[in-house]
Amino acid sequence: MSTMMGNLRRVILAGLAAGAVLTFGLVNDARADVASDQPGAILIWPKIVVDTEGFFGDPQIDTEIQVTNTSNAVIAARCWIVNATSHCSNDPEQACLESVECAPGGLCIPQWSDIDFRMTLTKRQPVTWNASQGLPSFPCSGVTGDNCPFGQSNRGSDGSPSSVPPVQEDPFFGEMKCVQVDPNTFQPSRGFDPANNFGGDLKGEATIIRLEERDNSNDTDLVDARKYNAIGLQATGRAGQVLPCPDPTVPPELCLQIGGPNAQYNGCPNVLIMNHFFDDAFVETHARRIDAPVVSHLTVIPCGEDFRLQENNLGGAVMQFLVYNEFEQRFSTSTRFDCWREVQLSDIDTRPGPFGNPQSIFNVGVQGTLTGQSRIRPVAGPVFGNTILGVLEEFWECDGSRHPDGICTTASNLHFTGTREQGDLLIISPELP
Amino acid sequence: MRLRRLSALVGALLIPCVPAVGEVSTNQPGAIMVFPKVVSDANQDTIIQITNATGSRVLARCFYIDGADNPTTQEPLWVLTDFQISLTMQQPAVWVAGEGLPAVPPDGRSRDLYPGPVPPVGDGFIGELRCVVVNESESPISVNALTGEATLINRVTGATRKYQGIAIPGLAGNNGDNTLLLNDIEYSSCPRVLLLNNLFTDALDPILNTAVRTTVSLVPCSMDLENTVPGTATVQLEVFNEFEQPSSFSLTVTCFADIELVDIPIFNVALQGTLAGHTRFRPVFDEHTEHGHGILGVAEEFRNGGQIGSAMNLHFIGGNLQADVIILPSAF
Repeated sequence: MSTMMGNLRRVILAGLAAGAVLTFGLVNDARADVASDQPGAILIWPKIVVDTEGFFGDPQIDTEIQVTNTSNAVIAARCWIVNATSHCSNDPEQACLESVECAPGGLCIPQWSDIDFRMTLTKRQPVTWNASQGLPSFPCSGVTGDNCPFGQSNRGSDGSPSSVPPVQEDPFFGEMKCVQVDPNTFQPSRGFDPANNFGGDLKGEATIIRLEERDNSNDTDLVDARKYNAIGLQATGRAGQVLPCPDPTVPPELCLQIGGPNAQYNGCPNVLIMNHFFDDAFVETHARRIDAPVVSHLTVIPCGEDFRLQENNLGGAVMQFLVYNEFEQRFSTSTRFDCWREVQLSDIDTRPGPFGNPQSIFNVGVQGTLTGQSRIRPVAGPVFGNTILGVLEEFWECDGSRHPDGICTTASNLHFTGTREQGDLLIISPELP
Repeated sequence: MRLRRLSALVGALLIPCVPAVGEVSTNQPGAIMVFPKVVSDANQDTIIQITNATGSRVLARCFYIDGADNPTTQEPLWVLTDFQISLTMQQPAVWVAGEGLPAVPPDGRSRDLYPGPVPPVGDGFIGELRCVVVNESESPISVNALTGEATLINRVTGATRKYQGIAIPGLAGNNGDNTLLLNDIEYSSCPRVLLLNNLFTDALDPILNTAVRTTVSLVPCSMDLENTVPGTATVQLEVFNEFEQPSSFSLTVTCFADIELVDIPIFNVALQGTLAGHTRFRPVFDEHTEHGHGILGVAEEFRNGGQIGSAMNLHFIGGNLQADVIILPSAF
């Protein structure tokens, strides 16, 4: 009898132990919890645009960046601003949008370069800056004599002040990524807020503002604004640990695994879902008093990047699109990008520019309904997931006496679904001594 | 060997049946979709986009809830209008709140591809839209199918501002009755705290050099649509400026609240001394244990004297410690 009871006790204990291991494993496994509505340990702004001189003939454009530490602890972050502005191959000083803007024989080639900075944020502290100007000194750096209560400071533990550089050039197109780091060591870390499951404490937004100043002081300037939430990747229980990198050439302390079997951060999504109006759809409201066409632009960036080697050797993907209209009819297309790409929907499957847009599967003339649902699946590589992130912008015709070019804009985050087995790598640059 | 197999079986039985974890989200589909601000009046209207993100047909019961003030009592009207929509696999649908969708498909499509009819809201409507996925018997089911967006459009200028609908995932423990428990068993709970990064009232926009105004629209998670009892919540606001200095305020949300931060003194830039702020909205527990007091919401910023605006979703943290309850009207 005692042997049977002993065996039974051993069985129960072994089962409990197995259950605990399995449950603990479940809690720490990566999920596709990329979110634009929760704080994270990696924060991503897919689109930052600056053109304060109206170089491209548009109104002046700038981007307001907002970042907040949502936790009740001092945190720090290291950030990288990626410059993806295209330049003419035969005149590297000249920024361009299309090759036709270059001198004959030139091609408009996107670039990829980054600058980095770091910042220390006090408890619950918000900061904001214009991308064109950066933020030379933070509110509690003691530079202007201001300090936060109880001696909290925006200076790092090594006494270095926090500052944000302006973007690398003007005009500028690109993105920014911030990684939460330990405020003492400046090494990647988890979050401090248990209410957020220690998944990260960074929250952010971007507001893209267009301004056309009127010469006559009696006239109101023409303005427009659109806003989106930065995308947060939540840290897993492995964040902050130094783990062997799937790429053995990368020092482990610089290798952040996003998704995958040893994920330190939740993986980027398997599929992005975009609810949109088809291009040139006329949306009628108020008994046709508003009867405005709308076009949409999609901006995509890679989830994984290599800031150590300063080259775009991890980014880029082929994107497969499934497009559904309101009649449940399905179309498909594909395109690729390398580093950063903004594209009008109708240009995804046609030549760049307006030529051919009416024949695009993203055009209302082809689809026959106002709205569609497009599912975007980046094709996975043999080793890495090649996942992507993005934002969607709408450009509506509106009152030209109030808004630049007679265009009103909105920005919105995409929806996400699923995860994939392969992860991606975010390789950060080493801290300079 | 037999002991090892027995151990594994006991382990499986002793692991708690962990329901599928879900969180309120603006990025992933849900079984309940909430649009916290829908307006149709002389100045603006709202374009509703709602999409079925699954590969099967879904039905949804939808409710417009008018939170405009009764001109006599100054209390929210709390007028309900409900309708049903049907979405085929992956189907998007769109309508303007002030116009709805007619009973007969205007584009000649067959009825099984038509989501409507959708009634128009009345002139002067300001409130929310809430949709719940149901089966053919109109019983709520935990099929996470719905994604959505709302675009508020100015009648005069055509200016637009857009936010994403808030999805509440359905979970494995849904018993299909008309009492929807947002308790992380039937449906995900509402967030414990909502977060807003705001520019303080009358702070000068660093690019435009003009004053910024912010509006926050909040709706209670709980509501009794059977007995027409609106949800209510007391919300504590904690406001931090760039110097980490805190301030606080509290307000009550009944049915619907459209709060202009200019009306709350602690949001003024003259008091705060910095451009940017961080605001935390925390619903307060009370003695009413039959339901929670969670809230959901969106924010809008207006620049250049209201000439332009942008909308944004609030961030969420944690799950509400007190379950919210949505009671749907019974079929009859």
